[in-house]
Amino acid sequence: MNFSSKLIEDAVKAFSSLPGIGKKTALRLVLHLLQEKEEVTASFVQAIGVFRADIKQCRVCGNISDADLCTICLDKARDHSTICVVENIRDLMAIESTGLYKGAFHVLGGVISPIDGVGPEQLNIDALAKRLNHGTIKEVIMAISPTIEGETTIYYLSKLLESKVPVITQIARGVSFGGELEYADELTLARSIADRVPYSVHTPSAG
Amino acid sequence: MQITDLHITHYKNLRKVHIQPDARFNYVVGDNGMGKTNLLDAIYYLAFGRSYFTSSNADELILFEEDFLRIETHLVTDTARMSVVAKMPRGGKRIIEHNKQPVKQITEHIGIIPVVFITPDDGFILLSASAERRRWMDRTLSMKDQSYLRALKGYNKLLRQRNALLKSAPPGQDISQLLETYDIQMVPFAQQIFKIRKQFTRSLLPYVLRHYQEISLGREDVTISYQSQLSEASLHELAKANYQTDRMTKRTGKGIHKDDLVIEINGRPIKRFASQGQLKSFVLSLKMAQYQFLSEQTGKRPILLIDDIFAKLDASRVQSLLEFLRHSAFGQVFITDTDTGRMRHIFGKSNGDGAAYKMNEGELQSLSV
Repeated sequence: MNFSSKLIEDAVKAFSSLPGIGKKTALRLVLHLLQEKEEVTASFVQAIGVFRADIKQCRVCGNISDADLCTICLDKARDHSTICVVENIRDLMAIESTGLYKGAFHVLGGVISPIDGVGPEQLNIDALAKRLNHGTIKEVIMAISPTIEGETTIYYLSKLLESKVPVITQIARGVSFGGELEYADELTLARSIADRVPYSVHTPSAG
Repeated sequence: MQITDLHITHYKNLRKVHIQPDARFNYVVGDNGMGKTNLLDAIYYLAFGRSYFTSSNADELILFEEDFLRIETHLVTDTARMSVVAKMPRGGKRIIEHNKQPVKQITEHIGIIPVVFITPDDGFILLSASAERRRWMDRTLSMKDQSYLRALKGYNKLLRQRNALLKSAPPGQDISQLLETYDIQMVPFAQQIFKIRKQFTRSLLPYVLRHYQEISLGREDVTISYQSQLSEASLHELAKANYQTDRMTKRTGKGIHKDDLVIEINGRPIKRFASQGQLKSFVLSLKMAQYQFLSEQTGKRPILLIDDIFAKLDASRVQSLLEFLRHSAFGQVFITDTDTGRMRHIFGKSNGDGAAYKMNEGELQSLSV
């Protein structure tokens, strides 16, 4: 793409460095800002600048937060004796948006993958172990993707934590809701059969 | 099972080839360097998503100055018909499609088109390091059993992570906990692979013996044995006892990635003691055994690709291959040769059905026989 202005070119470059934004979309955003009043751009830039400067990581769980502690950790109504361990903040948000989980979280910041230079030391694991030292935690839920790296992380964490917490669980894996059996891959299906659960007519599993 | 309506575009020196292969015999004649082998390799590529001949750079498979390769066929079985496409853009990823739908995992594709490829240079399987024999075993077993390939992929993924850990961990650090995490996950995969390879060697042996003795006129005694560290102890124990060595060498020393097939003729390892003739006879027996193993275990007759073997083998070995071709229950066969006369001779003897083609500078023409 040829630009008549170096300034526009720089702005397009900046936008298109963001994930999911190509050059064309970036140009549309830049031209849009150009059509609007200057204040619009100023407040846009300010919002981003302030957000980046002031955002914090929750001291306890690693969630993003405006203060030292995040809203989930501060919420008295939640069950703080259960910790759900997730890989990243996006996974935390996905679980939160189900509205079903009322416990606390712990964000690891990744999974163990030596090929990518990520070992246990690079992850938020020490803090998790410390949270379990008080003996108030009753259950740790591993909500980590069932990839090879995810399984490695779950196994490693479980070994590390088993003496510190009465119950370690992992989220169920199986046929997706609304999915059809014939399209499920063999591995998933085999696991679903092996880990089948009792069916109760009083509490159907649809949630 | 047979392939029909084969289209090859930009595969090596084949610019555009379109044939309707015969359900039984397909003969391709032509001088050296015209592209006969590439035609067979294109069929192999369709089956495995890779060339039979090792190539470090996949882009080299694409015809010079072209942007992509594409191989397409209709696969016809007794009950079904499906289109299969393998394609790759230059610098991009290879894609396989079944009935125009991309296949997500190569494990879902391998085995759909079972093939056995016989080339004059197959001796390398016997002479090279153990990796070549494992690769041969793995490709054969992958065609038979998707769960084998899945286990192998799982194992290799864990092995790469484990090796990366050994390579990157600072010398003083205690990583035994994490090493064990990998070992425990590798155990079920390793067990499964060990079991299948062991069983495979056992069922392969009688076939190999029979063919080899036919070729060598029963004068020699051959054995194939499967060699694996796992026959001594479980992977978990082996790995645990090897932590210090692993840390020193910075790689994983124990596991099924060290397996080998040991082949002996008259009690002596073929790798060091066999003559050229013994090597050729043996590798031919091995390929015929591979064919029989696959057809019996899968119930499908593999496509047999025979490249330029008649010119390179002496008369008695050619004879036994022909006997094999004549008497076995065969599916589709593709044979290349440089000699039109010999082709006609062989062709005349094999029931008369078949199609013949001439390959010239990457272009294929039908020949009337």
